[in-house]
Amino acid sequence: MAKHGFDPAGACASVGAPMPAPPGFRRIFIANRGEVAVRVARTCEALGIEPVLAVSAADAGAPYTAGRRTVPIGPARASDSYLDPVRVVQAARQSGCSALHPGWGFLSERPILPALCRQHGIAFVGPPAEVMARMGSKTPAKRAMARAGLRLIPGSDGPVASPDEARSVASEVGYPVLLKAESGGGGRGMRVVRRPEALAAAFEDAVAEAAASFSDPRVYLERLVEGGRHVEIQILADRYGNVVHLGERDCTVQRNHQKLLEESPCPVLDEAERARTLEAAARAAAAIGYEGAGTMEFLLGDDGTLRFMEMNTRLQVEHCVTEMRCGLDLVAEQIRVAAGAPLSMRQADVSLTGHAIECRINAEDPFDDFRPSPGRITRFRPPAGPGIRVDTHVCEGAVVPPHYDSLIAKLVVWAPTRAAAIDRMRQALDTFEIEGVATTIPLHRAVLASEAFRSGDYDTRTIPGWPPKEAP
Amino acid sequence: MKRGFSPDGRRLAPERPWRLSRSEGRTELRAPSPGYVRDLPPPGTRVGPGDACGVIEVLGVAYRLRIPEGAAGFVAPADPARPARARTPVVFDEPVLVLEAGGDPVAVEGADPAEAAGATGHVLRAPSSGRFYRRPSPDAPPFVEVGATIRHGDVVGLLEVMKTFSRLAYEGAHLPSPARVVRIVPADGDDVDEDAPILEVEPEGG
Repeated sequence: MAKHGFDPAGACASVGAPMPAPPGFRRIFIANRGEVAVRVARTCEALGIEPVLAVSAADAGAPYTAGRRTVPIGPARASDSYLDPVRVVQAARQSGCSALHPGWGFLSERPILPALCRQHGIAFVGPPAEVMARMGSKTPAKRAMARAGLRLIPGSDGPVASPDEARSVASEVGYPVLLKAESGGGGRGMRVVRRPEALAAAFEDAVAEAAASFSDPRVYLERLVEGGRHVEIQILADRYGNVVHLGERDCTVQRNHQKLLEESPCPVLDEAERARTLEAAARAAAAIGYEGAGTMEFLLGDDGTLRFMEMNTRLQVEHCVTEMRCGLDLVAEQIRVAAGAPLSMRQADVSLTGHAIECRINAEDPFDDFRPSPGRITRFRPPAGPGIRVDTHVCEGAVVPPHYDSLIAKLVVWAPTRAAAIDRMRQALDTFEIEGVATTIPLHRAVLASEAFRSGDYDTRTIPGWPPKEAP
Repeated sequence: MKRGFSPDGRRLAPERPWRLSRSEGRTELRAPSPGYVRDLPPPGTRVGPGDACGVIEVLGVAYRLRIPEGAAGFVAPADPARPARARTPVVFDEPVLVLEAGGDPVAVEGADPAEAAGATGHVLRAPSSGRFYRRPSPDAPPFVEVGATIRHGDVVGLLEVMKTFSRLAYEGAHLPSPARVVRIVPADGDDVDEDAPILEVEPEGG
């Protein structure tokens, strides 16, 4: 590894130990905002790299930008600022950045961003555009994963062209079935069909919605797995074909496909199935030439089998859960890989210990149908202590703007066992004081206090312990 | 050739409007995007709505910056604290130029008299740099003569840019129509810079 200019001792270090800066990057542009920008900036600063933050007019002067270099890129509206790849790459260029980190959300899964970066001589911290494009469309991703030995949800082999073809595939895989947009996401272009008579109309609806939302009318069909648990695998790959997995995360506690709470390891996953799928996921990532951090999402059915759903070609909000268990800084690993370094560890070097839980603290009112609650935070006292981590961009006096995501903090705890982690999280939530905006803290307290959560008896359709039985 | 295609340089060049910020008779022109600003008009230049006023390069694409409706005035002298550069990096909403309303244009030493705006204030400017021709062919009569009456859409000359000829039409929201030609600034075959005055006109009957 010395030939790549890396100090092997530093490269294998865990969080907290000094890490050498990757060669070449002195300044990294962060094409994101809020908690994401803070998370990436913190690692850049630890590596001795200067972060440069893109800011919209709504975020200029926000507390999280204090003392950091910023480049105003556009008005508050995201489509004219954080979602405009041309402004973002131009801003990276004129501020003298040699690399760009997309964070998660916004442009992080749009292949145009790595493509523009490449064209303008900026290293993209993430996979190459062509790999991102392939994994972003569902059918090629599923085919690649099946070849690498991952199990799939039974369904059509590629998009279905007509209601008749859909009907014949549906009768093979069995009802109920789900029609999904080939280029989709976020539930749009999706239709559940329970009876053959309803299929033709649902097909037309799904095609129309997919065309309108994603400019791609193609839809595919798969059997609907009702309930089930959402399990995902974190992988890390370099450009030399080395891949490691960093265990799985269980993200079953969701509301309208929005994750609320994540934990690792999955409390109900069979040991043999876990080992088999983790190994296959790493092999699949190597097979598609993946680079950087990525996540494969699976559905864990009642039969205990993990079936591949899709791949996220970026770091995720809940990556901190994995960091707590493996002791690695995933953003630092991403930056090293983007700088051309080989992975600093082999699979045998990765040790996952204990249990970690993350609660997403959103500025939403759980007692009023999760109505977003922007405004000024008048009091902010996060919990502290061993095994407690708070990732946030807000502080007392900060204003939560109405234009963007409602996440204001992530509370992550680690403990040797799941029961101890639940207790630690409950204590941390009890001492977390936020005033001025409504938050999802009451929801998390109810979930963690519930018997259903403790016993692992829930799926994606219900939130354990919520809504509460009696008035709070 | 695609239907509706016109080899008119002004239609092909991408454009963006300046952002405006007004206070007490001063109008600030602010950058619409991060990018490199260049080719700004010299102090004292009179500009009005629809005029091209500088260029912003964003990822290698040069956008002509237009003055939006409701802004007009003389370009104020540059801030001496700001170093003059061929290409200045700017961020979104950064103030770049200040327009001062009314009064006489600021006297600029050594300015080419041909660059100054005409007495009528109605000036058709070159959409890009190039060579200006008054006639469609060497033997043909000129498109327009001084004293002629012209309307929006009338062709007043040809502009040769990198071996491509485009028709130069009399157009622009700030220009009167019909109008009488007061002066034709460049001679036939002269090289002109972008934004250089081509015609000075006055409203017909004015």
